[in-house]
Parts: sequence; structure tokens; C-alpha cells
Amino acid sequence: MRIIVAGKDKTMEIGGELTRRAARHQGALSPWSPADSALSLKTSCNRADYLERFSKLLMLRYALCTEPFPIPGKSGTAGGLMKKIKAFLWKLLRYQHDRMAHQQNAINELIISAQVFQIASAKHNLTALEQRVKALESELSTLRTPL
Amino acid sequence: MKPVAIHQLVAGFATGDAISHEALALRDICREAGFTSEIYAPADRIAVDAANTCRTLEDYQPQADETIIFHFSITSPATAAFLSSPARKILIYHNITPPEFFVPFDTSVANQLTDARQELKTILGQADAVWADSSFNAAELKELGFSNTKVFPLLFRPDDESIAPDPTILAKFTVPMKNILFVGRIAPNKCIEELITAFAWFHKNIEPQSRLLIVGSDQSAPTYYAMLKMYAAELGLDTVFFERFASPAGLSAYYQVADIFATTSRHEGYCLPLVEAMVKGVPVVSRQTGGTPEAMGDAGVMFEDLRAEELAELFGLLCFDAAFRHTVMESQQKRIATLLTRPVKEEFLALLGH
Repeated sequence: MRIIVAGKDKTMEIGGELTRRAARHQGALSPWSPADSALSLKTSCNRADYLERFSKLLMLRYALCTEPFPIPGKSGTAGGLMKKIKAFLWKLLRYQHDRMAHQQNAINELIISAQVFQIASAKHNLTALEQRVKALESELSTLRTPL
Repeated sequence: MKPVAIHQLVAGFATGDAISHEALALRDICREAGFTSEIYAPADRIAVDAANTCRTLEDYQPQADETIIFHFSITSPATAAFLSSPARKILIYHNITPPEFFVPFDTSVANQLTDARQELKTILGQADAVWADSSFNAAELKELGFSNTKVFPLLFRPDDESIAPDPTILAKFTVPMKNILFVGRIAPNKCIEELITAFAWFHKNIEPQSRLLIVGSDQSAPTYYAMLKMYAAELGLDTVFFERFASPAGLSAYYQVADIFATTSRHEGYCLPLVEAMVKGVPVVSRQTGGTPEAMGDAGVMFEDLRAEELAELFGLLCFDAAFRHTVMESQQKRIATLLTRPVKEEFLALLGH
């Protein structure tokens, strides 16, 4: 660790305090395992590998999250009341929201599937073309007359 | 013999781009000093709004009695124009991003960057003078065996004060929250995912009323941009805003609402946005890498080897510790005063030999 403030090395003064405070950050930030995290894309070998991985990650993420979530609120009586109203509204509207989320999820899944089919088809066509070029090249080499 | 013209070649030209910005500043200095001066770039790499500022490469008519300055950072048709020109040749090396950053995201860009490193050797062999915009970049050239490089730090010209901040952007972020700002190309070497992780801890445990504003073009690596979007969503961060390219008025608005300017970039030749943020009065936190110490000077906060949780705490310190923030701001004001009094014209003409 190294921290430079206004051109002066302040690692000793600030570093320990930052580490001590950082201990309060517990748990995992991402709900996904490292292999299924978006950051796994950084280990792609090339663009084609990236696209394949990206499609896989999309397939895991098509659904809208309708789980209860922490509603942020401001301090004070008014802030607390507002937070309760927001929580109530969320409960009240869920029956409608869940129906729409279900429809949206179905659409998302179909779109992602279409993309996966397209990538697979492009890959298949490319392999076929590569094989054909290889065959033609080999045929051409047999047709060439030696000097 | 004094040349009649000093022209510049760039790989591309766009408003807001640091190299384009420098080329424009140098063109103005040249014209002021009585030289004919134009900027040339390949036609397909000139941004639409810059068509009146930058001329196409096809218009370039090289002459032996002139000087040509080539800003180099990536392969482009401008290289061939430079090499074939009979003019006195000056190379300004702006650094080439290591290709390995791009390999997972865009193989063709990675290949272009690899080719650029090869091309650089040829250019160095044919240039009459070589300048670098930071000592870091000059050191890279030295590693290639070229030691006669002059350092001409990347030019900074403050924006026209008359440009008012974009009101639509100010309105978008009108609800007061702590805003952490990043400005720069959305490119893999910037390691913006590390900034998102640090912000996630800051947002979760330090200041829930906070936003991360990421401002910059996503055209360098759209696949990297997609990864960042997916990652922010994965962390459930609905206050991470990808704002893409910003006009000067837009940029002014982002700086106005920012509480901290932060970058976790792992490769920089210089990093002009650090200086811009200082001018706009925003405290700067930057990873100490490449040319960033030269841009920062004795100002702002630089770090090395901080975990995301620790970086989040550093954000907290800058937001809520008034004395710490004051120290940082004071150092930045001194830095800007130094930069604004830099005798750029004299420095430039002296390097040219006039």
C-alpha cells in the first residue's frame, strides 16, 4: 500500500486507518460466483471467446429481479414515514409488477436465445467455410505444375 | 532555414480528445508565430463536429521546406504520410496502450497496438527529432534504444469560461448526493471495473446517497463497455451512470456536480482529465501509474496497492474529512497555478529551434 497526498507520502499516517475502517466491509458484493461474474469476461482468449462467454452470462441474467430490496430513506420522522409509504406501495403494486416482470422475462429469454442461435449458426458457417477453403487450397496445390 | 509552414498529422481528430486538443493548441501557437499551420487526419477518423478544424490527409501536400509534427499513439494511414514526407520530421510520442489489455475484448485493436509498436521503431529511425509528452513515455523510448528524446509535457489549455454547464445534465443530478466522477475513454487499460467495485463498497457501507458518473466514449472497446454495464448491474448498483461522450458544456456540468474525481487506470501516458478536474476544483484520486505522477505533480491523492474496500474508505475521507479535503484542494490550486503560467509558446519554439 502507498498513499501520496499533496506530493507527500502519507502511507504511515493514513494507511493503517483506511485498513482498520475497511474491515467493516464484509460479505460478497456480487451474488455470482467468480466464474459467472461479468468480470470473468476479462479472461477471454479473444473476441470470439468473449462473445460465447457473454451469451452464457446473459442466459443467466435474463430475469428481472422482483425480490424485496432495501428501500433507502432519509433520517427524521418525515423520512421514516416516507420509507414506510414506499414499502407499502411496493407491496401493493407487486401483483401488477410481477405479472409484467414475468412477461418481460419471457421476452428477454427469447431474445437471448435468438442471439445464441445466431452465434452458433455463424460459427457453424465459418467452420464450414474454413474447411472448404482448406480443401480448395489443397486441390490448387495439386494442380500447380512444378517449375 | 526557417520553415514557412509547420503542419501536424494525427491518427484521428475529435473534440474532447487529449491529442486533438494538443494539436489544436500547437496549431494556434504556430499561426500566432507567423507560420502556416494545419492539422491533417485520415478522412474517416475526423469527428463530424471537427470537419472545419481538421483537414483530411488527402489534402496534405508535403514540401521539403516545412516541418511536419506527427502525434503517434496507434497505427493509421497518417504514418505512411509522415514517413514519405520530405519535410523536417518531428515525432511526438503519446504512448501506445499495451495490447494485452485489449486481447479479451477486441483482437483487432490488440493487433493494431502490436503493429504500432513495430511501426514505432521505423518512425523513430526516420524522425529528425523526437518528443514525448511525459518522462514516462520518454523512458519507454529509451528502452527501445532511443535516448535522444525531449520531453514536452502534454499541453493543457483551460476551457473557455463562457461555456455554461449543460442545464439538462445539472437537472438530471439535481438531487444532492455524493458524486464520484470518472472522465476518460471507456477502455480496458482504464480498469473501470475496479472503480465500480470500490464505489460499490462506498455506496453500500459509507454513503448510500451516492452516484458514480462514468463519462467517456465507449467506441474504443464496446465489448469492454458491455462488461462494465453487466458488472454494475450484477452488483445491484442503480446509481452508476454511464454517460458516454460529453460536449464541453456537458463536461463542465459533470465537473460541477462532482465531489471527487477518481481513476483506477493501470496504464496512462499522462492523463489530462486529472488536470482538468483540478482546474474545475474537484479533488482528484488517482492510481500512481505510468505518466500520472507527472500530471498530478505535488497535488491530489495518488495510491498504489489499495484494496477496493480501502479505496472506498479513501473516498469517504475525501468526502467527509474537511481538513483532509482542504489539504488536497490547496495542493491542487498550487498545481494549477504552475500549469497556467507555463511558458508554452517559448518552450515549443525553443524545442523547434526557433
